Amino acid sequence: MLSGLKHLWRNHRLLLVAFGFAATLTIFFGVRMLLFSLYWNDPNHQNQPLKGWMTPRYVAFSYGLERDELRQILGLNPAPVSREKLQDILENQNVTLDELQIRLDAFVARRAPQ
Amino acid sequence: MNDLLLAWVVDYGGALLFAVTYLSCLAIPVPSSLLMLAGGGFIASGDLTLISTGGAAYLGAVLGDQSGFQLGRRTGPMIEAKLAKAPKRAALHKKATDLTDRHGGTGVFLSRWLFSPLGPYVNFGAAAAGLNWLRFTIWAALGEAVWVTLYVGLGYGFADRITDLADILGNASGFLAAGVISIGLGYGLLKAAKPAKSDKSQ
Repeated sequence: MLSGLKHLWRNHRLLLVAFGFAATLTIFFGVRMLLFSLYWNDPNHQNQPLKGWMTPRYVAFSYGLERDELRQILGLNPAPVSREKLQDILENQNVTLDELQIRLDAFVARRAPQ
Repeated sequence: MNDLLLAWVVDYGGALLFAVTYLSCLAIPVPSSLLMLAGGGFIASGDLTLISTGGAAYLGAVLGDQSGFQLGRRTGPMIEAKLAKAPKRAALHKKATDLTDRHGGTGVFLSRWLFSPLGPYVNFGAAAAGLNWLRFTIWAALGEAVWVTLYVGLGYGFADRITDLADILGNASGFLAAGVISIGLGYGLLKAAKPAKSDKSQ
């Protein structure tokens, strides 16, 4: 085993180094894949936090809300323009994403008591 | 950066996905997986339509492959001329050409979606090693169909968690791509290690 490795190091160094590098990368990505999968399975992380790029429809869809319910939480009146993003809507209303997140979480918690 | 790109998916929809899949086929590091997942998510919420989003992503990918292939085709003869002067390397080149001839189609197909980080290099290499254009085009178009359907479909199905999903998939495809290269290099090492015994006996 060791003499084989010596032979490879002497005669096929590039191949051996490339293999070492590729194997390290494989382990690196494998571990990260596993960690992110664990995160995915953790029930505490199963609601995607609000982001500025989301649209009201997208938020309603991912939190399982009716569009009217979301409109109520957002305090939107009249109905939002299609494909307007949260970051644009909130800018007009002087509300931060965090405040909206608190309102939304409270609404969802009220609606589905555990 | 990703948040900005995700906002652009809402604003520009298909046009952005077209550009992103095109560029990613030329090895330009853009988060094409995440943005396709987002495209799927916005289809699910009703903000974007399947035809414009999925169609644009697919078209970008197919055209990106063609550009990469043309690039490899132009460079191929130059590489060949250089290698012809060094017999050991010429033998390696011959091996690569033979391998491409035997497994080129499958390689192109699988490197579209299963080992997608390798895709751009396979385009270039397959063309340089003389893979037939029609064969390349058919396998690449089929593979891209799987890639786009897979990511847009997963984005549609898991619309509420696309960024988490992108983290898993990004690392999974890195794992698979690095894994298949490790296996290939490991096989090369095993073959190279064999003469060690005959060296000793001499």
